Amino acid sequence: MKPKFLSHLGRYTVAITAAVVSFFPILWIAMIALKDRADAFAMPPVWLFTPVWEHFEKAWMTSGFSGAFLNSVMVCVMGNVLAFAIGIPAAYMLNQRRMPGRKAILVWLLISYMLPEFLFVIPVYVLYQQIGLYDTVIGLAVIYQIFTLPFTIWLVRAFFADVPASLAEAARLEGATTWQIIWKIYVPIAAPGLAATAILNAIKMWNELTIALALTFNNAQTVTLAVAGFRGYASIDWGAMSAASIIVILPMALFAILAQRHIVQGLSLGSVK
Amino acid sequence: MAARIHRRLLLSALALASLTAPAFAFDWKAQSGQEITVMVSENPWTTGLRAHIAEFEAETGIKVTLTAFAEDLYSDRMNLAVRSTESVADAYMVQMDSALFEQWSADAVEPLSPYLADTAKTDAGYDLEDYPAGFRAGASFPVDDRAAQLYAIPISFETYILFYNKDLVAKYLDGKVPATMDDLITAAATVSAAGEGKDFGATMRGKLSAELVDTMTGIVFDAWGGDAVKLPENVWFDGDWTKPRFNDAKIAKGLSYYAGLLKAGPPSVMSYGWEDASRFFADGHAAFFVDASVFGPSFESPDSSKVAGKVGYAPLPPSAGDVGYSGHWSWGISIPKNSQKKDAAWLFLQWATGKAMTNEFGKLTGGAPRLSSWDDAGYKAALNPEYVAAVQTQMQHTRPTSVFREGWSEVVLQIVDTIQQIAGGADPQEATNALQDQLAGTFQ
Amino acid sequence: MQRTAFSPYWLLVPALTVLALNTFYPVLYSVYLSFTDWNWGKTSNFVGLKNFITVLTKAQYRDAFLNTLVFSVSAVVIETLLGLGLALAINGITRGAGLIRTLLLLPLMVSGIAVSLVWKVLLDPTQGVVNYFLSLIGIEGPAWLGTVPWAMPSIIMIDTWWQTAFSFIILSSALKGLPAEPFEAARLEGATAWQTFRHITLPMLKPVLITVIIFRTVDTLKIFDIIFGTTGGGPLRATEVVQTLAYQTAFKFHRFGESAAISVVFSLIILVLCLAYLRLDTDEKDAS
Repeated sequence: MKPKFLSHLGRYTVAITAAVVSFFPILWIAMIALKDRADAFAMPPVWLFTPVWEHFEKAWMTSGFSGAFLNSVMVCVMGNVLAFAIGIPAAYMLNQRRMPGRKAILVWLLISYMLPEFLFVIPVYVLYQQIGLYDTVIGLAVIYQIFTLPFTIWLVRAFFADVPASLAEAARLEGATTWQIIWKIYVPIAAPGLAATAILNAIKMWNELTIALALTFNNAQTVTLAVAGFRGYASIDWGAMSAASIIVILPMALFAILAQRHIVQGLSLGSVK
Repeated sequence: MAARIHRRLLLSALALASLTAPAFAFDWKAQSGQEITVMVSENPWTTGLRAHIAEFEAETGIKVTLTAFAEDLYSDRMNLAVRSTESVADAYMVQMDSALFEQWSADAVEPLSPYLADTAKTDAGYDLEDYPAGFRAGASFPVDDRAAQLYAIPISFETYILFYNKDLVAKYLDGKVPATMDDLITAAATVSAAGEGKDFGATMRGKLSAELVDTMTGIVFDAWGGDAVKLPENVWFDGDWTKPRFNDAKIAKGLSYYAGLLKAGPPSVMSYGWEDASRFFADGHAAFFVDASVFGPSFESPDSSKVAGKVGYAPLPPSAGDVGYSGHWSWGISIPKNSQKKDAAWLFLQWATGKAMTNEFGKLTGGAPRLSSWDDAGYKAALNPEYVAAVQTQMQHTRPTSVFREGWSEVVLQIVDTIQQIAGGADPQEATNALQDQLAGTFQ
Repeated sequence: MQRTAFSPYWLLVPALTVLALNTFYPVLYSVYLSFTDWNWGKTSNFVGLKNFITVLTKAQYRDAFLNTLVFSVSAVVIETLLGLGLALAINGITRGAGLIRTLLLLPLMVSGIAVSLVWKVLLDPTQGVVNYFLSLIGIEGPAWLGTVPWAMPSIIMIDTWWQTAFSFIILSSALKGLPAEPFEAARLEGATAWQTFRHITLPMLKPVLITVIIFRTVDTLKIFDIIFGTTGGGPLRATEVVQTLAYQTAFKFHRFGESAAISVVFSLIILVLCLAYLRLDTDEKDAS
């Protein structure tokens, strides 16, 4: 009984410490956003203060910010739709162990994922200007496939590996096509895993900086860039910038709260084969 | 009675005529219906522009899309935009230094001289001569050429001056503002030694970045003194690219001043960009701050500063003799060659750099580049009088900080390395000797 | 049964097309650029191997590659171990596990620019709260990002805060998915916690661990945002890494050819590392 209690105490100590360390810096940004400028950087810290909400209002009303927020949402949705539409069939195929060339394709996917940004932003900039994808949400969603597609295929393949092959066999005997087998059998079973993948993809696209900087201008500017925009020369607005950072974290945090169970469940489906 | 009415009619007719007269001379509506995109960096000037842009739209019938961006990221995006084949923006803010020079070398920027010479395109009251000759020369290429054309118009200039916290100077230095550069370094060290880790002698930009080139060059000019300096090579070369002199004793001295101020700074000063350094000063922790005059107005605003009303302003203290030299630098506005709407863009440039708007925007930047602004009562009244006095004095002894050479910012980073070495204890002469050796092969 | 013989390769066509467009074109373009001195201006000449010789011989580049390696190895080791430890600790918790997991996940949601912003403020020796807390327990904190010896450890610490959740979440999912039987057997045989971990948990986690390590290795080698946002590569280049150098060379010095050469060499290095890891993965699978 006693060792068990001690082990529990240990686990909780570790967990709570880690949670506090993780949360504290974010709390700190929120506090800068809610304090007036005089208190924001006071040391020792001012713990009790009347919250000032105007920084949030100012951040949201700043021209281009809400538009950028919407752009980011659209990029995340489109990027995920593309990655799944293309990646699910591919993942199904790559799950067939005897498929020739499987290994080569998996390595190729990894190569796509590992390409450093500065290798491809300039060529893609030149190309996008010519074909009209520059400064468009679609263009961004397409180029993000460079990392979302490999990541999606890699993970989805693992989830599909856990789906019992006998189910597919049975369906095939009843005359189902491969296409039907994928969407009617594999996808529903692996759904939690797909949700987890979508979330991890969204996080990555939401926070991406370098590619968005090079390939967008006014119309498709993303929210990460908009936050950086509060850093005006000789006139940095710490309150509004912190408030903007918090606004940007919010949808992702909401995601985390709603989805953390699914992420864990989903990923645990496909993790061990 | 009838005569009276008649006279009134005549008067109002005259008044009407005089009101509309300029419109006959210059047609601001010539490009009505056009839409232009203006690409700007976040800056107090941009704040002013946002507040007044509707006036321009009403006056000209041109619709303006403003797209603004943080300075460090702005440069990259702007450089891509002006060089691309497709038009991205019709007018843009540009650093009037090697950035503009490199764009000119890449044939990416439109010469403005033809527009200025065309009376159909430029209002007679524009008055280009109102800009100091040095500012115009800094944006005219080829450098030192009779046929040089103007490629940008200054919108906000800055010069590098001394900001001091009056409370801290009173507390630690008996209210004595240092009279020479050496005194300043000693005084800064004194404050830091006595400040118990709370108050520091100085705050400076110390982060490895090409951004601090202008402040640094300003301080080097102070050490350099009155001897002539020639463009495009500037102080770093003896009049010729083949003769670098990074280890000149006066340059070594200038860099050691910068390093001395860094040394008196807070412990993490080497990670400070301008936003951290200026925040540290605005929060009242540093006695001295040497940087761009453009920070002045934000220090006087109680919303962003705890030291409002307690800041002193002075030209850089001289390193030798009576005059403290410094540098100046400027943001400008230009038209990219790839723009399809250059005439509308030129109307925008003309309006934004005209006398009225220069005064308006200057109230926010504290650096109106037109000479007439500094005689304008409204402009001066908007700024702290000590600030105005300091900047006006400094302006008489500044040189441009630019070096017109491709890849110059890589050299700047190596100079910053040298400053960081000196601040870390290296001997200034030895450190600059090493810099000279390192760079010797780079220039032909 | 004939239908199973039919292999619907066309299912791969869209993915391979996108993959080809996204990789071949930019890679070939960059390889071409790496043999020129293009400055996005008038100059564009074929310069042979000049850029590659610069990249491979200049001390500055060697240092940046070394810094990158130091950062990547440290960050991956620390984050994987920490992530694994946290996953093991929290796996045994029932009450409040959801809340704790959510809080642990939060840092992952913050963009690199915002991470830099907040950590620069937190780590500021005079205005920051970290050294303030340290002073409360009688420790004089270092100057973190501002000094040569502490700058890289500070960056590693920031990345650990930011990205450990990635390893944590994938490893805790993996733990949840492990079959119960082997653990039951081990318990009956009276194995200690360490023995169970060493001989049962670890071997079963190995494929996932390798996946985590591969993705994190790639991500950490490509580190850019948080260095760009905090030290800019200083002080005295102590935190200069390949990506900050590639960025500066292209966007600040306008030597696009040389920048492309950096990226090409860098890609090859990452590729070799990835293939080595994959090798590890395959060996394991073949053995089992």
